[in-house]
Amino acid sequence: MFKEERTESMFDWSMLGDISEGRPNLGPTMNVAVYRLMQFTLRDVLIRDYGVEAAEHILYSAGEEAGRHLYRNVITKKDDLTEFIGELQQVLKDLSIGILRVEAADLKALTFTLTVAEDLDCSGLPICGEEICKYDEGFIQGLLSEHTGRNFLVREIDCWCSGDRVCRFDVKPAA
Amino acid sequence: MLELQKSQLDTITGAFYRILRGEKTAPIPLPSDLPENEFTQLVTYINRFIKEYNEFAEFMYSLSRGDLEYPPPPGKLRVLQSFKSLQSSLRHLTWKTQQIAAGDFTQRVDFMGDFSTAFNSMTQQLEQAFVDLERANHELADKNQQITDSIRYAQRIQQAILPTPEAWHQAFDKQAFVIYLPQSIVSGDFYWLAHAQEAILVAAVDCTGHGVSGAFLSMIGHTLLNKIVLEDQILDPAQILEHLHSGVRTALQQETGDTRDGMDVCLCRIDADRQHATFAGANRPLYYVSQQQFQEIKGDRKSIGGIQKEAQRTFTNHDVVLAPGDTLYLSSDGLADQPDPNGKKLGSKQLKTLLSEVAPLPIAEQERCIRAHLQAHQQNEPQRDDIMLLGLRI
Repeated sequence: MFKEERTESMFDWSMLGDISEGRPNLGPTMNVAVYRLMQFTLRDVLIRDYGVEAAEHILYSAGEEAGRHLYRNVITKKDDLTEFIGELQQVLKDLSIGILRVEAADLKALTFTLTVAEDLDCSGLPICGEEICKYDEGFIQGLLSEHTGRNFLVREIDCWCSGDRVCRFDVKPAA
Repeated sequence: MLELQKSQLDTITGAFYRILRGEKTAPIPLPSDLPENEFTQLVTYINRFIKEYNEFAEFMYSLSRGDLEYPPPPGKLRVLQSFKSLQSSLRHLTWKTQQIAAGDFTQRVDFMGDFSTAFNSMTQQLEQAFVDLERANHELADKNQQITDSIRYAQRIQQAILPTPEAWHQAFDKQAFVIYLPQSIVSGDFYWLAHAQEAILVAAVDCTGHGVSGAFLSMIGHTLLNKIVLEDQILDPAQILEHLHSGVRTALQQETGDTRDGMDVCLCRIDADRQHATFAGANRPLYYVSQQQFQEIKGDRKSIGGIQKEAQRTFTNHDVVLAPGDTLYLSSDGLADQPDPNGKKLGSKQLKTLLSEVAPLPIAEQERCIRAHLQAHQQNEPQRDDIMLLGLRI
């Protein structure tokens, strides 16, 4: 199940397990630092073993996979784009992933400028002049692609690590 | 030891002096022949600060004018990042407001302090107001439907008191037309027909107002005319109007009350020999075309019902000598008063011209021409009043 060799995704939402049964005392939440500990040690090993470009590709792909599965298993408003975005904001807030805001949206052209404040991955990290939220880029692509049936180019243009106060993503349909 | 000239320090002092005075400050000139040293490095950083500060000032100026599309300048100044966040929040609120304006009341904003609470509360109140308005609209539509249904039923009753087409055509050997166009479902206009002692009595009655109130009055008028003529056998047109006047005043208690409602009447009795007619009018004329000559007999300038200052209201009979082919026209004022899209009424003058032009035509053709003329005049302008025109060929 978890250790089979594979050439395509075998992830299933059920792999997240029954958390209420498994963690009756500690519950479904944990310290953000622990999440970051896993992500940045994993990133560290990926870069060390495969290089920056390959590591970022892996993180992007994992984010995309997560976005698609979150859409399929959590999102309920799937008929209307604005209703979907409204629910997504609520879901990301409820799951403490971040505060999603829409700065600009052209629903016909499917172009967006999105910001994520208090982002789980990067808010509060040392400022290093880099945009590092590759996992988030893939996550947004997965969600939007699952809703619209189209692929998107998602590019982080501002990040806490590059000195901004929010992560800002430029989203447009892939050519 | 780095040595500086006084003027070099003055340029730096001057630059900050201008910034603090609110002036736009140009970078400090840095001659190319200056050596690379700590002063050069200091001026380079100061110039970078001035550049970012100037760009930030432009950004802030645009933001203060409400231009949320102004691209924020690059830079890592903490104050710049804070205002970038403010711009981001304002753009987000703009988008949210647009969604709410489009009817999506599920939109909420979070983590903007008291503003979030106020905004979300306003959205909820808007949604409630929208729901209340929708419900009120439905209730209003239901009430309107009930009232309309009721008036439509009343229309059936009002139509039942009008002469049937068979009775109308039989009375005038199919040589008559009726143009009867209520302004709303029921009408304040009605026409009336009676046979008595081989004479035909015909009236065009225009009650005060239109719609339901006019229709109520029309029922009183119709009942009184039947009583006066058919039960009391009063066949003199002037006397009929006098009795009708008394009857309306009694029915509406106008001796003691303050209602001024009444009716204008064009009444004709056509004698059995069809060679004579007697006309009496209450604020309405009789038009007729005899021997290809258009004639108008004005009625008395008195209405039926309403205020009566004289001791007794009397009306005048006018005798009309008729010949075969003559045409009588009885009408309310709705046709002449109908405006065109520019607000210009058809007018009595144009109506008389129209009647004199169509009078030689067969009676059915006359009706068609008059209706076409009205349509061409009115176009899409709403009808202002009830319209009624009776044409009778002898």
